[in-house]
Amino acid sequence: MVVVKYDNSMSSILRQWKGRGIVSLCLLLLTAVVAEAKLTVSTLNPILTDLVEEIGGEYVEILEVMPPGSDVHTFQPRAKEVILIQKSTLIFAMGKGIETYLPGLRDSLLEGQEIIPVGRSVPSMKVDADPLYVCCPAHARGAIDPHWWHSVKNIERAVKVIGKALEKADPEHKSYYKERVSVARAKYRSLHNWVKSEVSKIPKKQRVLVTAHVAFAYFCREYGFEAKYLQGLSKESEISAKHLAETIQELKGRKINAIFPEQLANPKMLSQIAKEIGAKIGKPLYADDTPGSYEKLIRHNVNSIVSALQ
Amino acid sequence: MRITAYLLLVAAASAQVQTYQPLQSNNQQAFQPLKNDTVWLTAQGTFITGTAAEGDIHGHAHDPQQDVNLQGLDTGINFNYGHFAGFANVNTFESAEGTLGSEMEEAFIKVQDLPLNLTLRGGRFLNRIGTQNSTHLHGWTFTDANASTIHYLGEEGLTSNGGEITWDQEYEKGIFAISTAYGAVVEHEHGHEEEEEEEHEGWADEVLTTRALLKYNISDFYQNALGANYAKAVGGGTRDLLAVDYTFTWRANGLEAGGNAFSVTGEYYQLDAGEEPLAGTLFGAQYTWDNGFSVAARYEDAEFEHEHEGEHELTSREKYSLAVSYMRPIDQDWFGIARLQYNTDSFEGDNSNSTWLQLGLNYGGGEVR
Repeated sequence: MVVVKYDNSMSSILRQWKGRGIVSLCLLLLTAVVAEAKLTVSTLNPILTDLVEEIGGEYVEILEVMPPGSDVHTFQPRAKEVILIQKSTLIFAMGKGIETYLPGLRDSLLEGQEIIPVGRSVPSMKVDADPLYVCCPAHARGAIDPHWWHSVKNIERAVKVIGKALEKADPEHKSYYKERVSVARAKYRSLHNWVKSEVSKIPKKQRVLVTAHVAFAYFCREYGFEAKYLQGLSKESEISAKHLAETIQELKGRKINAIFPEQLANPKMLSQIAKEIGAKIGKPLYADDTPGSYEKLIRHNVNSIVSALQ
Repeated sequence: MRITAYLLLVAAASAQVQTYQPLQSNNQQAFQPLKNDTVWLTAQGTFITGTAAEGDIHGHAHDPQQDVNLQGLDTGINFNYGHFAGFANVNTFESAEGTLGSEMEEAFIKVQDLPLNLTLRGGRFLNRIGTQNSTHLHGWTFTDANASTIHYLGEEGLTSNGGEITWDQEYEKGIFAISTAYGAVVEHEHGHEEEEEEEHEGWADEVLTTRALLKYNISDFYQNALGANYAKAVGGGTRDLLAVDYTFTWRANGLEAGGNAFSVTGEYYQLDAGEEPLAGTLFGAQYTWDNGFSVAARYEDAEFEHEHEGEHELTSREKYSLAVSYMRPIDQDWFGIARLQYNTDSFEGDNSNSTWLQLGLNYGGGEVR
């Protein structure tokens, strides 16, 4: 398995190896030849890097386009990242509209490249409901909540999608990918059961998840929480004073134990609200970012929620 | 070329808003971005040729009326503010006589997200009946109106000045809604006053309409919409109309934008306006490609009463249509459409064939409906 960050180009690797002798150079060339044989794919989100790595194993080289710590809602690939993407056969995207740059990226792809929107097969939840009555099909769609990965069940589905895409692109190693999909699915089933068992420690009345931006609807639906949000779909969303006042008023009457800030977001506003409604501030949750792996993300979020609401 | 001149008229400067309004209900939707739909504008120009006589080609007042025709230059304005929303539009069109006319088609205010999931609407509006009546020209799949719309709802469809109440219930895979409206039927002026008295014959004075709509998504990819409709003329009219419609849609991208799509629609009307009830059916199918091309086919059979030598005779009209359209976004707010359509229309014992080329330009987001 090779994961190449977008700034680790072959030339920089060569620079690192410069002056280490002919043996090192030979080893490098050998590595390059072996790497040639691998299926090269790009991932547009660190969660996907983790999942593709899990399924692709030794036969896949991953070019990670969006580095950890970037905001998935605002990230836009620059020219050098587009050039990197053009080196891959498959491009794994989260889908459901979170990569707003996908239509433009599609136009810059070369022949034979394919974008796999991994989340597309997950049943959508809406942020902006489909209008009941519409003027025409061109204006018929409401906005979809793109944060599908917060349900572990959906990750199990995503693993299948990734496996199928790899099998199609690299049929020679079909059985290898199949086997790894099967192992990964078992792992995520077990993680899903762990989440359910942890959540069951929270009294049902306390299962209200108050967070900053709209990111946990899939989590809440899957694990029986009522979701309350103080911002919009992304961390950049503005909030109206009226809505904030209404939400605070509602939360005051609900005896909420804790509200949760998010990693990479400013918790100042949440702290003020927590003070006002008499709730404590929970540990920051991972909404759009990851602590390194998907499993760590889920375990961190669930442990934080359970310890604060229990 | 007149069409070009008409389309050039469409250049418009306009303001946009992009604000957020808070969620009213108890679900996971925290904020809804408003569409950039403050100003809305469409223009459709049409070139027609074929064997049909001029009078046979058109049916609906907004159908193309002659060889080269400004089918409609529609300007509208939307607003959204908290619980309130509204829409008004003025349509300018070329009549069968070649004269330009304008009229305010709709002007209504909605009060939405009320307790008990109620929405109120008041003013002038196109009544919610079937799949086409409340859709403006730019949203039609074909260049011309459905025969059922013309023969059962009127030459311009059914519009009223009145009030409407809608109740809806969302659920995980869809929505159910029922809308009931009561109001005075609007009589239109399209430069053919002599026909005006006849235009809403039977729908004269007041009308009560109800539409129940069930939208059910089997998954993101397979979507169903079932409608049941009722209209009754009140205060002088004698018409009762029952209609059902069903649309199945498959979308390759599910609920995400873009992608190939396929839909089939069936619609049945039964109008009780005299001695014998009149029936009309429509079957339509459309396939849309991700690149903006689409092909659509339609079959219609509509019975209607026709005056011949002073006597009312029952006549049946059969219409087959095939349309190839190309829709191209120009930027975020503008898109253009070109449509080539072939119709074969048989009624009163005569066949007519016509070919239509429609060019359209649209600006703005969705209308408030």
